[in-house]
Amino acid sequence: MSERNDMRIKNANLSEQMKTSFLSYAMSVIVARALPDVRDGMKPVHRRILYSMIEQGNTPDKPHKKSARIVGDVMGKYHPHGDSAIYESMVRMAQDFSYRHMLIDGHGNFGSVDGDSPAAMRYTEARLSKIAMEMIRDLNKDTVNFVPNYDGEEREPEVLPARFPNLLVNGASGIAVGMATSIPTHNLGEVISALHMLMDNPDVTTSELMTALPGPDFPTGAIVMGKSGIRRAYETGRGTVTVRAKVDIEQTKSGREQIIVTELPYMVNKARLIERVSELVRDKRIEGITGIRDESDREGLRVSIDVRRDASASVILNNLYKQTLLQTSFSFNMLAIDHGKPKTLNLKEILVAYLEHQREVIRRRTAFDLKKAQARAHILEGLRIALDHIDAIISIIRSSKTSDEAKGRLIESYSLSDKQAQAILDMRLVRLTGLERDKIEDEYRKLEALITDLKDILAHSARVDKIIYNELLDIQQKFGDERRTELQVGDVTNIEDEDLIEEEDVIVTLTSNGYIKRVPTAEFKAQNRGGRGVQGMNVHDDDVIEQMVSTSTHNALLFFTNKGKVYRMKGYEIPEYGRHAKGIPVVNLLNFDNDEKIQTLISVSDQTAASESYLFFVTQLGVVKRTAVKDFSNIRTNGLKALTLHDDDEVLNVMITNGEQNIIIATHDGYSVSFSESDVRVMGRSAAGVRGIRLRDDDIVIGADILNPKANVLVITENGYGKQTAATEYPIKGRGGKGIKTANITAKNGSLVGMTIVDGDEDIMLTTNQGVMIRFTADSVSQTGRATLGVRLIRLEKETKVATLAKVDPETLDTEGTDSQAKAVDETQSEQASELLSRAQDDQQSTHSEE
Amino acid sequence: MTRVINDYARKNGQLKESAESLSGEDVREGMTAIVSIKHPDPQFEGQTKTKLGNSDARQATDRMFSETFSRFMMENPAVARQIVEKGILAQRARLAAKRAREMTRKQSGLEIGNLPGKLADNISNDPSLSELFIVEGDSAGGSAKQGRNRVTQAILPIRGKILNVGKATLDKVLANEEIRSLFTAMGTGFGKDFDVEKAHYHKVIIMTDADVDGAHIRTLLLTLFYRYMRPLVDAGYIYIAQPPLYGVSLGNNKEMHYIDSDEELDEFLTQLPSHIKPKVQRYKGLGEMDYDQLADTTMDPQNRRLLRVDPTDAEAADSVIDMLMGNEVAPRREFIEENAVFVENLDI
Repeated sequence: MSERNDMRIKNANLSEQMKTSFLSYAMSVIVARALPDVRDGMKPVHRRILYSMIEQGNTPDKPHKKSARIVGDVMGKYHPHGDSAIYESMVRMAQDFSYRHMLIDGHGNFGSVDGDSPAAMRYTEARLSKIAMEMIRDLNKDTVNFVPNYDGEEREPEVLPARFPNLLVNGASGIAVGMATSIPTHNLGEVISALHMLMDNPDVTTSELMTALPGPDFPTGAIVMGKSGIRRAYETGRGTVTVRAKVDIEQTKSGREQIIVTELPYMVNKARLIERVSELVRDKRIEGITGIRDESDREGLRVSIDVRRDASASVILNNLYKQTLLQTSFSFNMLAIDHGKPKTLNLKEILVAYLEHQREVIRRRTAFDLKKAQARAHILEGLRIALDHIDAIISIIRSSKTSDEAKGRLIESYSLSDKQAQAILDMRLVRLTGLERDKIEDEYRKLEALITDLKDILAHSARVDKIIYNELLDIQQKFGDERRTELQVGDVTNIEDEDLIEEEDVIVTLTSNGYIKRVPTAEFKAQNRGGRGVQGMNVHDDDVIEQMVSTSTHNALLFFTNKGKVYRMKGYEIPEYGRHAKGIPVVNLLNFDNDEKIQTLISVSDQTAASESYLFFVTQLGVVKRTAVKDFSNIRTNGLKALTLHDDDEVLNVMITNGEQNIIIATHDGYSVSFSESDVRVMGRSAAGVRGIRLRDDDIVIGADILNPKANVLVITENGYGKQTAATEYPIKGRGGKGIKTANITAKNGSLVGMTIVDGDEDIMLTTNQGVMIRFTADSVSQTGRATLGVRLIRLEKETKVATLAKVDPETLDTEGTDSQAKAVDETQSEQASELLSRAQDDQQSTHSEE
Repeated sequence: MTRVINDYARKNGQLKESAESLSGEDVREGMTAIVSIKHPDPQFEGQTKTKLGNSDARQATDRMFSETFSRFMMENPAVARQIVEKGILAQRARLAAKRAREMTRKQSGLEIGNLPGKLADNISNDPSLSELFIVEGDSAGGSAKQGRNRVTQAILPIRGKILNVGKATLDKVLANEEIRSLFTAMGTGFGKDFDVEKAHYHKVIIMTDADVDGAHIRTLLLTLFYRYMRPLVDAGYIYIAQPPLYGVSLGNNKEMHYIDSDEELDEFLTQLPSHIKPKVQRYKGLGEMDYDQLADTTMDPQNRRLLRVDPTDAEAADSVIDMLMGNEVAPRREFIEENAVFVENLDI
């Protein structure tokens, strides 16, 4: 077909075409499909269903009718769209878990809270519910405008009289184009109380309204947490509240705990919730649930969740709140059509709009009644005239040839209206009795009174309000019921991760290469019953456990690095590994700078943080600082400065002290100072600190510890010599001195590389600069005086020096077992190590004899 | 190496659980590994001696490498992340290339005449004479098929609202049945291979119901044409059919008067002599008309009126389509609020 024939082609600009087409679609969806009218809270489809049902006389006093008939009628007369959409809307109005007050009284399967679909519309039956009659009451009294339907053959109401505040009571939800609405359901009695309050005081505030209407009331009950979200929503029209299922924790006879769910948040699908929980259990994302059963029956909803004997029901519950729809949020977005336009409304605006609508309904109803009464009174006036002159009138009628003639003569003779004359002609003879005559008089008087009254109502808006007030009161008394949703004061405490994790004693280990892990203490204990050591962790060949802290999953761990920064992690944030596993490099957990290395790991429980505890810092250049532990309670994972360091200085050790302890610091050149920590005043977190020891040229601090008077000071030198000396030999002096000799440094034993305080039952671990490690118990080191050489502990090759000293806590001795160290070093190394040790033992003998 | 990298990536959440693993070639792309082995009896493969054949060496290397490399990845998360990202990038490139290959292969299959079942094609093979009517819904598709001129007019019914291509990703667009059948019917190919010369029809006529949902489908189709078949729009091949809004019959007279807008209807009705009772039918859908009515009013080139989509202000069109059909809600809402007054056709 060529264009010659196409005579009527016009050009249409693409973007214009897009705009106009889109706009008509968008506006239609907005004002006439997806959003409710603020006055009656209905979308067109709902309104058409109700109207069509009342038109068919499908009322609560008559039997149910097939849903298919209703749907067909609605579709054919008013709603030219798909049948399924109409049926679904109708079904929702009949669901006791969707509507707070159902508008449809359904018969048959209308679906369930499990998300089961309702039976097909050829099976189910329905009629209007009692309260739905209040939606349409006075509809035939010209209370609302009627508009032509889609094909102009029928007329339908533009809005329903809605004698109860349906928008708030039954809520609404809908997605239009570019906007959506979401209004929760409310308690009928409470909304009416709020309306009463508003009528009494038009300047009422939202807070005052909230004393009558404190929050949503869902048909499924449940618990709404926190008032502030509700308040925000009521004040602005938008806001979010948290909704939780109603849950009890019960003890079974066998002593286990059970979580019993009796009410679900609004619009939560029970079957899917159960599925989700099972999924979480299967994927091991929630531990401790042994079973979940749906025990709902005709008595009501009940889901029971079995909890393993050793698990905590409240921890599991917190997990369920966080990971399932047992806790959801409801977002208010109170958008409705107000005067033909979509508008976000706050609570008061909704109530005011409803009230305005009611005023109009009552005014128009009154005017309608008045007109009717006046028309009747007009007729009665005519009848009265007729009765007064009955004989004359009868003769006029008898002498007339046609009824038209009779009518004309009556109008003429008694100045009657056409209607009055017709009424006289239609009068039955029985009206002529005396009794009937009185009746007419009586009715006329009553009508007179009624007309005066109706006129008075129209003249005084206060009377209109009074009527609304009373009629709402009637509805409140007739249909109002108990609130179902519990409102909990105070906002939901955000569920912290900690609440989701059971507190458990763990051991955190950190190796010198920076591998970290946590192991439940129980894992060691369980293995320990035989009284023999168990195999400890596997580390890489060149690695060794440097720090071992016994703590709990809920405690905080502070990581102090050589650069003076501190990082913090909760115990549970450290990945849990088995006893043998190597762990994970700590660089994966914390954002270290280059060259940063963890010097000290300290566990801080909540009690420690609260009590008078201090962190005592010692740096290589002899600076010390004391800071309260609680200054370190807020640290992000990307770290904070723990103290300000001089250039080239590094943190050597951090200790946790109680404020009354003594500190000892030892240097490379064999000097030491010991002083009371109270000499160092408490300083802020980022302060630089004060001098702890005055260093001689090029000397550096190699060790610092808490000087326990009953313990011994153990020192190790570069060439593998060591000794321990009673702490009492170290006098407590002021800080900042040059110190006293703690060991004689000669070419033979070499400078100090390490100093630590020992009780005697710890293990000491030395690492050489060749990477060989040797471990021995502290009490195998000879005890000597303060300024002595010490004994040879290991014999070292030329060039080989002791590089570091590490003390393993006595506690870890129980747990880790002594054979673990043999595993820690590789076989050749351990051969070397044992050789070194045995040679050293020989030497020890000889050194003793030398002395 | 591939295994180690995959393990690491999954453990660290860089690869989603459901995602496909990186393949060897993805991982190896751009990576160099130097392996130094001392072996007492090395056996090389083939003449070029480029590959060491000893299986014991292979095992040892495998074990050593996976141990130390996974340790390296653990201890150097920053480097590890880069390695994985590079692998994922390579994977994406590989999959995209694969999809493109499949696409071209599929297209060549279509050209042999594998037409979608729904299309009622026309007889003529001359594209300049051929017209394709895209019809909303099967109910209207039926009347269109009956009322068409089978020599020149092809009918493609589309069910319901098609996918909004302004929001969907490419693979979703390609997976959509309705859109695929449209591409197949047009025969122009897809993406880079799109060739407007191959178009089977030089008139593509969007024929939707004269209600607001029809308007919506029209915008969805226009978006599809604009985004994925732009040359058709530029060539002026896209038209919009204009079915009448009202049909008025007068008294017993069978003759129908077709009317396109409310204003015209009012004018027409007031001009009528008072003794004639008009019967007004409002056409909500094309399915409401008899096939001959539809043919007369909307399809017959003698009587029909068409709107040719004119792409002259391409830039404006681009931004308009983006605003109306894109992912951002705020500008759309703004537009609706500003223009709410100008609505032409409101369906209550």
